[in-house]
Amino acid sequence: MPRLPDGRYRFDSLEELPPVAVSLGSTAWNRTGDWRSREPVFADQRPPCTHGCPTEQDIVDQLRLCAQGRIREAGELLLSANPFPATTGRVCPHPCTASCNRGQMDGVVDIPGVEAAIGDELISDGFVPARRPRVGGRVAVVGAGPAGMTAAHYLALAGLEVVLYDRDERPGGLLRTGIPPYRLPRRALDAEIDRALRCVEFVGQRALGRDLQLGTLKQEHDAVLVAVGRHAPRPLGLEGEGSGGVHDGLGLLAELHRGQPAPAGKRVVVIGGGNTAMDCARSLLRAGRSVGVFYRRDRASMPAFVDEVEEALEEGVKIEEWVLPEALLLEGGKVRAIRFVRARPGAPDSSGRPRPEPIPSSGFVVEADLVVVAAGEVLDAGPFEKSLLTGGFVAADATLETRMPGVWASGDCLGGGGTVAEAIAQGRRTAAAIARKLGVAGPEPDLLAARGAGADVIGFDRIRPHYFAAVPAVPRSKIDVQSRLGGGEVRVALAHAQASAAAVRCLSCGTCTGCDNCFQFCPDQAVVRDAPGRYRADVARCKGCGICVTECPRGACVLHDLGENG
Amino acid sequence: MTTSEKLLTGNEAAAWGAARAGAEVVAAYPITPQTTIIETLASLVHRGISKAEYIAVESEHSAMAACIAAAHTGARAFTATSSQGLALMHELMHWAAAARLPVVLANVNRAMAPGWSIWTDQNDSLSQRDTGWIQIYCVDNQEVVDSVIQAFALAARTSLPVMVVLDAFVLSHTAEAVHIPEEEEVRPLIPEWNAPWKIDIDRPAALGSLVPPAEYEKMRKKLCDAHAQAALVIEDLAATWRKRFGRGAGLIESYRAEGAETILVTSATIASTARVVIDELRDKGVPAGLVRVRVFRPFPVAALRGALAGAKRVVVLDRNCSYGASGIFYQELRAALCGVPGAPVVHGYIAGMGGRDVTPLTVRAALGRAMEGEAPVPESTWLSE
Amino acid sequence: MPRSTLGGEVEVRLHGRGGQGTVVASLVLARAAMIEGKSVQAFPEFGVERRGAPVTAFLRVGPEKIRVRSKVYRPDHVLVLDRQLIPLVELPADHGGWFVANTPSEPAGLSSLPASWRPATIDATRLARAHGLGSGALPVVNCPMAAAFARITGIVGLDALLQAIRETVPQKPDANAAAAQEAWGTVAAAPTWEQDALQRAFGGS
Repeated sequence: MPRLPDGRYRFDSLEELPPVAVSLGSTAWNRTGDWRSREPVFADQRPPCTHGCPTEQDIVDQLRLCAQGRIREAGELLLSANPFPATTGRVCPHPCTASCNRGQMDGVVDIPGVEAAIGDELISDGFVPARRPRVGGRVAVVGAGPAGMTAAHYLALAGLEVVLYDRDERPGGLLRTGIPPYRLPRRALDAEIDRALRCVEFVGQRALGRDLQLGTLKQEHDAVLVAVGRHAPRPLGLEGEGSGGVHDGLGLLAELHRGQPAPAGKRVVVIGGGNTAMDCARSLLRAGRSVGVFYRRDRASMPAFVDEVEEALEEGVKIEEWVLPEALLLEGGKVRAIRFVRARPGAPDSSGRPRPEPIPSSGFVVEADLVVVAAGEVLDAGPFEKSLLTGGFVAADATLETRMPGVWASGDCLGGGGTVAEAIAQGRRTAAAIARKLGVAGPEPDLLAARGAGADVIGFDRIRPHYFAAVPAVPRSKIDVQSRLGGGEVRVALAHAQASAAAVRCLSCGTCTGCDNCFQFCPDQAVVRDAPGRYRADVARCKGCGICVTECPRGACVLHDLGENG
Repeated sequence: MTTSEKLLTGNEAAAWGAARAGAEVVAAYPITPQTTIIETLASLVHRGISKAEYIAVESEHSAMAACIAAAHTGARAFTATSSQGLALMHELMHWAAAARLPVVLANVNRAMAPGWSIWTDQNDSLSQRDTGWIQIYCVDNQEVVDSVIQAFALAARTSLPVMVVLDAFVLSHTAEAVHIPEEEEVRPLIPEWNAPWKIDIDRPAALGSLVPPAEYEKMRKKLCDAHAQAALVIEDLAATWRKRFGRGAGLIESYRAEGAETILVTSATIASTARVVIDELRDKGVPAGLVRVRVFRPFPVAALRGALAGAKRVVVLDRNCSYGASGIFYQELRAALCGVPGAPVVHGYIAGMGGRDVTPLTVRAALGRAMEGEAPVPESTWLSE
Repeated sequence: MPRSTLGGEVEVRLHGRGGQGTVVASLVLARAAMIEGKSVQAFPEFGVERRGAPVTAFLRVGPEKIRVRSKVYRPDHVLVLDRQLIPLVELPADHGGWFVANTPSEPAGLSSLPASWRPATIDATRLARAHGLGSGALPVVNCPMAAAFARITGIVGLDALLQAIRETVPQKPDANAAAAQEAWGTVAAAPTWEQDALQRAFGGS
């Protein structure tokens, strides 16, 4: 029988045709790729968890390693983005889970639980990340809160000489003075700080403006980082705020966490709705006081983390909504009561939330012998020249360098959201910027981009849920209120095996797991597998049908239009 | 277009037929090119147009088993399949017929593998020839919807299962205008099935037990007699349809066959294309006609003898083959005419296997070769050779 | 009495790719013709459809019941939904009609057609994208193409076509109808035979 130039056979007679369907060659002659106007691109994209996380951890890969029982490797990867996983796993409001695609199936993955478990494992393991050989270059970091410690840590790992100053005796900043031990056990915090600052020279009791001057620091170092946070209490503007029995929230927490006894007063009024207000309320509750929180809007508008508010209510904190403090009622230089007026939602303010409008003649008096004002904090602008500030905060450009060349800034002193994760993220970004400036290899600013992932954020529309067996989330057991008030950690940490079980539930959004679906489903054998998990399209065969993209369970493959000239 | 006409494929027409007839249980398994029948039915059930209980099963064997069980309780049971799927039902095809159950099945004619094919020929349904099922072959989508509805009436009136057959793609996936009768127009034509062997919890009974040879033979004779009865019911339903809707064929359909010297005998959609060829020949003064065999079981021996009386030659065009014998309609027709005094010469041709397109040219070739004096051969002549 | 077989019956072949809506285009035209009281038959090439693979569909429209049930081998008109298929469509040289194609080119750009075939063109891909039909990577062009075809061949009128689109198209019926209306107004045809003859005979415009 004749064979055509393209490799096909032609049967000219009945005798030539075989009696059954049997292949005489291959179908390689059929260049189905000639039909193509689109082609698949096999590339990892951004999972929503990483997209939501300020530190942009490579959460999918961490969970994969953890699910495989490779917690140490998961930990090393985690530490490349965040030196304090045992801490953030406990105190972060976990925006990573907010758009976790598994939430639309059988419940979000417990990412913070796994993070804390990995952090705990690293601590008990005594793991220490490797430091690059010493290079020239001295950096001063002022402020040993999460931003300053993170920057100091990565700069030290990069081989630079780093001095870290803080006004307190011990490093930790707000993590130590602001966050109560029932949320963040001190053994975990101390261990993570010890590890982070292993190669950093820490000098305590040095305050900017008092013991340290920016100009001098700049002269003595190749780079300076300011990460002093914001500690100055925002006053309510009422007469008598300096009287006995009236305390500022952060100051009170700092005293309590230094081991001082709680100030006197049986009936406590906390004014404010942020995390500081909740921490004060719950800490004083643990000191045996009766506590009410008074907030000018409703509960849902509170800046405090939802979990914290819920836990506070469970423990017995009373919350009064839509109330404005009007006057402190004093007796003998000490507070005796406080007068509030009720409010209602008015026109939206600059934050888009309704402005509380006082309701006339709605005043009422609340007896109180201890008043805690936790209405927010501002930057103590004293140590800074006016030219370095904007809107009451330190001004910085996109690389977080201030208007004073050679001086960078990170964390709460820049304004911003004020979460620990954001501070850590900024610390790592400034470390990267400073390292780049000093010509040394610093931390990776974007871990996903560094491993070649694209910028598509993978939403649930890109997930094929039928490929995933239902594995319900294991709810983390809470400790009952009685034992909680005894002082222990509020939430139960995940054990090693539980963390792996939680991690198994990760869908690996936008991240190829080498499942071979694209390879198996391609009707034209046009998906080439160069190595497990490494695919490409054979353009001679790929007709752009998109079945590989449709069948990718996790959106790790996209179709590109070849346009009119395809 | 009348207001009640819809643009429907043959498969959609089959589904609408089952819905209008009031199918109560649908059990089916998907197979190309049948799948859109049960997809349409699933959608009609979802939309509340059909009140059927839709059972998704894991094989055609199970589909027929479910229909048998449902029919035993008196429920109107419907399934649809094709090709290998019908073959997988084979064991239970015998059962449904011999248990005298009014199951209705739509089979989309598709060639049997290997030589994998999804295209049409009749070997799948004709392999079920001796199971005892009634077989109706449709010429267009209107006949599909009408035949499915009639099948429910026919099955209930004769206690015989009925297979409605439509060509793969040529009908199954071809859209044309179809009038769907209203429920109230057709439901009264379908009686309740109330045979004594209907399962009734108030009258407990055992079914399918051992039967001694003499009784077995008599039961099989009754099955045969039921087919003779079915032939009458088919003509009766056709008359009702003609009266009520102005359309519809019975066992066979003649087209310009009166006074014809040469008559083409064929079935299903080939008969539609063939009409064009008959018109051309008649226009040229050639006395040719067409007889379409609509019902293959019961085989319409008397009707065919009548329609073909007086013809000089009959040309049978088969889209099927009984390997080692000949085209199957050819075989059956020769048997029907055997011993009839003055019977015409019968030519047998085979074309269109595995979906090979049957065009006016194909039909012309068959008629032309016979009229030019090609000698008939007992094993049929393959037109493509 | 039996009637002449092909009197007034028009046979059409449609060429596209799996996913572009080729079969639906044939159904839209069929339904529109049915609305106008004509007899119709529409069917896809009897094959295994694959996304991206070339797809053929057939359409017959006539005044009387259509009886021929084979594929269309000598189309009276051809509709091509994908410009890459234009050179691949086989056309009988001894028979011809309109060749309506989806391409940004002017009709004169389709110079390789046999002389018996008249080109008409429309950039339905652009229209589909502008009206948000299908995805950016795979615009669904069937409705604007059906409209362009109907306008050029006169096989059905605009009212019936728009009604048919609304009854046939499962998604975005309004956007499809709008795209069809725009296509109806913008399809460009090569001059007709008559215009050609007049041009040759009398010159000028």
